[in-house]
Amino acid sequence: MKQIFALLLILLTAGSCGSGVKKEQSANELATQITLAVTNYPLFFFTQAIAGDKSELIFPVPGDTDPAYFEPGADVVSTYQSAEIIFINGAGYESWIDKVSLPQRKIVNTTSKVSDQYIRERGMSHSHGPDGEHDHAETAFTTWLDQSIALEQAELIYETLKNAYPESSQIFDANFKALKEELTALDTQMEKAFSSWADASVSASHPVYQYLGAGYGLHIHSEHWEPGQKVDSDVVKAFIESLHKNDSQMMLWEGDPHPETRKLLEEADIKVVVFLPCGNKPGQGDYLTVMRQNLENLDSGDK
Amino acid sequence: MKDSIYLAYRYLTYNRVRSLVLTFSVAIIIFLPVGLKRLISESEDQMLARANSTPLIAGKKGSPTDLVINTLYFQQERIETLTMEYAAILDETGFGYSIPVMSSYSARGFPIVGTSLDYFDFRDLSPESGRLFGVVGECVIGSNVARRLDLQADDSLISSPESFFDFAGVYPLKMDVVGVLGQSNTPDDDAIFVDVKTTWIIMGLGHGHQDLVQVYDPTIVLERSDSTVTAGAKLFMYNQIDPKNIDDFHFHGDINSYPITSIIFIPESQKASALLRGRIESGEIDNQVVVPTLVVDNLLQSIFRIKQIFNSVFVIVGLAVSLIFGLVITLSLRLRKDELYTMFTIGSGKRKIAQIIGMELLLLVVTSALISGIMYYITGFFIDEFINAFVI
Repeated sequence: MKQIFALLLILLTAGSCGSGVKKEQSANELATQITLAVTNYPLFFFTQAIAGDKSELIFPVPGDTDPAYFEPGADVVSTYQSAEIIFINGAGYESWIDKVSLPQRKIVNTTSKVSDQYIRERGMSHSHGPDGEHDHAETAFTTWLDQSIALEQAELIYETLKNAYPESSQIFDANFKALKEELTALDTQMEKAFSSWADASVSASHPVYQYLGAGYGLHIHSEHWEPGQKVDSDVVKAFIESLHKNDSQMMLWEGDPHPETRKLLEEADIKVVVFLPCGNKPGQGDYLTVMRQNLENLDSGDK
Repeated sequence: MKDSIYLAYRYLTYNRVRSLVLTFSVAIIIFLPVGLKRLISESEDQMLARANSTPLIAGKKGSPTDLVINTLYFQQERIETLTMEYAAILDETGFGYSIPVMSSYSARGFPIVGTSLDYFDFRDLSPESGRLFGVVGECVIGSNVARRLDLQADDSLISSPESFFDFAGVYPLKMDVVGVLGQSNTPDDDAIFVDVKTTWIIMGLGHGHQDLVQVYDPTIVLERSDSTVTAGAKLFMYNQIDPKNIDDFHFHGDINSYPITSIIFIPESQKASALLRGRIESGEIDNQVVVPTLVVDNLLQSIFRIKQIFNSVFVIVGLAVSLIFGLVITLSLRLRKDELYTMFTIGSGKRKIAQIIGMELLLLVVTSALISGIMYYITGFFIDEFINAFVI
């Protein structure tokens, strides 16, 4: 009798071990089957952080191209079409999306829940034919620079993945919790870092810091100066003269300004801060390290 | 028996014209009701299969039949359009997902169907050659379109203008054919599929032109201020979308306000379908939603009525032919009076004579049945094309 019980016990144990291995395999298989696509690096980072390494992540923008101005060709669109979910930034970031064919129900606009916070900027109006006057109003799109919006975007990615792949929800829960802590901490740090600049005159080399300004109480005036390119000294001087003398001055740059431009600005006591929007993959580090470096640049007043 | 068959056969081949006329008359009378029954039942199956595979269709209030016919079979009846926003409203209910359909335009006699990529997954359609459309201005054609217009991937196709006399109207759009769908024996074989946004460009709601900010030709720019540029009719509008000018294409206003003819809605479950219909019927959500199966069923009732009329006609024609057949036989027996008397005098009994004549009739009927069987078999090869061309 004892022998029979022992045999049954062995069989049951072997059976349960076997099924356990099978379950683990199927979970892994499911995870590896996820093919996700994104349109900029912050979304790439958030999705990778939440979905983990098991998902295949499509981000076809070349490293030297700003994803905001990327125009995908038919081959890239085909790659996007193959994804199970396509996370887009929204807020007009993907200006090409109205000209391509993507499966609508696979597209998730990560800023859809914060669309009331979109910042609109009026463009040039024109009219021709019977349609009457119309303008191509643009929406500011570097939403993730406000870390509270970045968190909302990450949360929507998390919710979407959790709903789409409930079998992997435990992985998503743990990963999102860690990411949420990082983004919340970053938001607090930015709030603190920019608090002393709330009443100051802040300028930007390019109009990309609208959400940063709105999120952290900055009044930002934007120029259209390219980092690395020399700005005509008369233009820089005119810009300096236009600033209120009594304000403490700071200028945010998307990259290193030309040395001569930097010199002119610094001579006028304008603090030059390189604050990378991080729209594409950074050469080194990741989204969080770049944002932390931005804060360090802000503290030091230099690169 | 053998000799009776031989004599009957010899008689029929000797009078071959009369035999052929009789055989084909009988064959047609046998074939017509059976063939029509097949045609109707196949049409019914195909129409119902298409309708059954389409859970719900939403559209502007009006004729449900026109809505279903337009959406399922791309018969471009003038139906009222609803806005693209309505697809988003249906999606937001959480009961399923929407596939927009815009079927109002055509190219060289084939309907242009604007839709989303979800349509191909839903209908299980994939390109036999090439790929699905990726950017606006590209189209994927059905197998019959490819065959009849002799088109393949990398060719182009120009949309037909709405009116040849509307010189100031919308310019035709030259579309790039990027793929040919596999044969499906459905109306999809006879359609040209484009992104719904491409149909809006065909309509003139989206267009591409030179960048007005950079145009200084006074014959083009009529007025310019700091915030506004006004151009005249000389402004060059692109009639083909290519990688060079795609950036210059744009839509005016909110594309959610743009028109579509209908929405195919795929509910998650029967319950979701019932809940959505309830909301729409109660007026909570505007417009109408129809179950295609019910609409097509109603349509088929009409076809059944036609079938019954045909059946009655066939019975009458059959009776008439039978009478004529009887008359021909009686008259021919009368004409063959001398021949039958000769047979009798050389020793053939009355029973044998009756057997020979009976065998003649049997051979006629059997040959007619065989011919009608062959006609029925051949019909099978053309029935799909016939249904697509004349029924659906």
